[in-house]
Amino acid sequence: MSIDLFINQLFSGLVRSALFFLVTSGLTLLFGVVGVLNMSHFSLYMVASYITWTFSKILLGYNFSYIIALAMAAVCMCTFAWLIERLFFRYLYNRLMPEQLLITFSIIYIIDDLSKVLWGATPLYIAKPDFLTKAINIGTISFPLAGIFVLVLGIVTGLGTWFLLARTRLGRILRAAYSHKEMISCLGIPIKKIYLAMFIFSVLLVSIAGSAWPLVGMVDLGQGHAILIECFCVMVIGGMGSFVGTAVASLLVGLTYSFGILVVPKMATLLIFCLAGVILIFRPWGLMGTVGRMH
Amino acid sequence: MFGGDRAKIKKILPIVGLFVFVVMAGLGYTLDTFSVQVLTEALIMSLFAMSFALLYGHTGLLSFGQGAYFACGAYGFALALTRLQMPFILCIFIGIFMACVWSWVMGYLCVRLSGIYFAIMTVVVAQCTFYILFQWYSVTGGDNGIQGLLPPGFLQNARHYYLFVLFVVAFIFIAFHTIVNSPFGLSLKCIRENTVRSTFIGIKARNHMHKAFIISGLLAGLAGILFCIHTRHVVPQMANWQNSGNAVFMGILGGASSVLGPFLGALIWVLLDAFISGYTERWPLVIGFILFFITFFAPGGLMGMIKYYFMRKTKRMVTET
Repeated sequence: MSIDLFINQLFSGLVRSALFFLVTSGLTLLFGVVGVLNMSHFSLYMVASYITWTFSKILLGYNFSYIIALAMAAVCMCTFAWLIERLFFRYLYNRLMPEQLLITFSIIYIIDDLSKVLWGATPLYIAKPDFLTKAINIGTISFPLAGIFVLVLGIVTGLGTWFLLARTRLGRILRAAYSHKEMISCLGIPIKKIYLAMFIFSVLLVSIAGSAWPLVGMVDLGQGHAILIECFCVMVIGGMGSFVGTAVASLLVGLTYSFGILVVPKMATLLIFCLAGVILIFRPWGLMGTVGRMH
Repeated sequence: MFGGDRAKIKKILPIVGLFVFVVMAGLGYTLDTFSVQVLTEALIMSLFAMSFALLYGHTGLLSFGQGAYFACGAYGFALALTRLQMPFILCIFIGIFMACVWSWVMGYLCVRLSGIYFAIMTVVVAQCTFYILFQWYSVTGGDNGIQGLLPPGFLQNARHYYLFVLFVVAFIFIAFHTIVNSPFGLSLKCIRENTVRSTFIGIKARNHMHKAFIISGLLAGLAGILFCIHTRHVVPQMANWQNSGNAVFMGILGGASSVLGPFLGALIWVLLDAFISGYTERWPLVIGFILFFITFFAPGGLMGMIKYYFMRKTKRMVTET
């Protein structure tokens, strides 16, 4: 393998990892703190892409239309998340695990069909903002700025979330909310509000992912299901509910994909599946998860 | 189900079953062709719903990936019939065998996990199966699937095929009923109620879950085979999340932990599909809302509701006397 090809694949693998990380981190954090696996997470990701597309179309021609669209999508998605939480999601916390999964699964049908009504079934492209259409050339290798932007977005969001979780008082409360739910409420911390905030935060993360996606691909109804295998594999490999594990696993999966595609062009996704399978046989709780979180 | 009348019910159950069977067979001759086809589909789908119900309702394993084994059976049958030109009956067994092998391999992986991990892994397995069927163009025909799966002459008639399916489903129904009420089925229930404690009393939980997984794969595979003969073609979409979701929907709607539930669910699903999709394109929306409300307010499904109704009635009678 030539060095050019290597760097090229490395770069595309990193961009892919950033995207996987953005999509999965919200899902795994929500599971880690609240204990509910939101099956409709990927549909929310798709909705965020569609909202970004809509706003960047409305704002077409203005400078920084994309940045505004990204912010607006985040605002819309957070409002939507608040609505969902107040309407029914808050009743799920005390339910049995299969019922939680089934109810969030039924939301996939509803969200997907409503998006089909609103935005149609044809794939949509957004006009990339001027400052992201160029590429940086180093020697013979060119790095598209759109990819670099997604990468930076992933890194900044990841570091920000890590700082929030590991270094602030709120983060400590969040980490305690999973393991010592009763104790937290005994200390006078409003656990219901913490859960609401966590749900909105997870949707905020997926909204950033959904806004980043149109820069490197097209917006369509199947995009959530297309990324599903990789993201669930990331989640399982990293360990459910482990934030750092998710970051490591998304790097692993992204790079496996982009180098695997050179060896077995059609079967790169299956390679990731095999990776997840091997890890699950030897370490069923994932790379950085703890055994206690399996149940 | 009816309190003290249980023994009496058990005695007349075979007669009621035979009566239903005869009525169903009679319907095949009296109804018009379209209705017969709808009923055929309902019977086939009830097998598919049963495969979900065996895992979820009886073993407590939530599987979102039954479509994988459905497609596996269908593709095994289709490949044997079109590429290898084998006799029809042999093709059916090859299809079942394929579904069993695939569910044996994937079950080995999945049953090592519990709870949420299991559910996630079944989704991933189903998506991977879809991916293989979609990408392996030279064998599976990719996006186009395989067309022209004609059964032997006498089964090409819709009414004869209906009777054939009715016989198969009746046989499977009795087998399913036997399995569920056998010691094996009871130990599955024990695993559902409490996996850890079931191992204390000597049940090999993982082994039993694996067996249940294979049986459910077999049922889904058989449903896939019968379905692809019914529609005369196979497509990779049989393995995607929507088809797996159909099994979930039918199982939950009818009530996954009862034996009759999957039948009821499949019947309602097929009738809704046949008659609602004529009025509106927003069929997934309807599915979504029904699934949402059933799981939210009546997790036992329709059979659960019926049981609850009769239990309340008998309780009231007891308190009145």
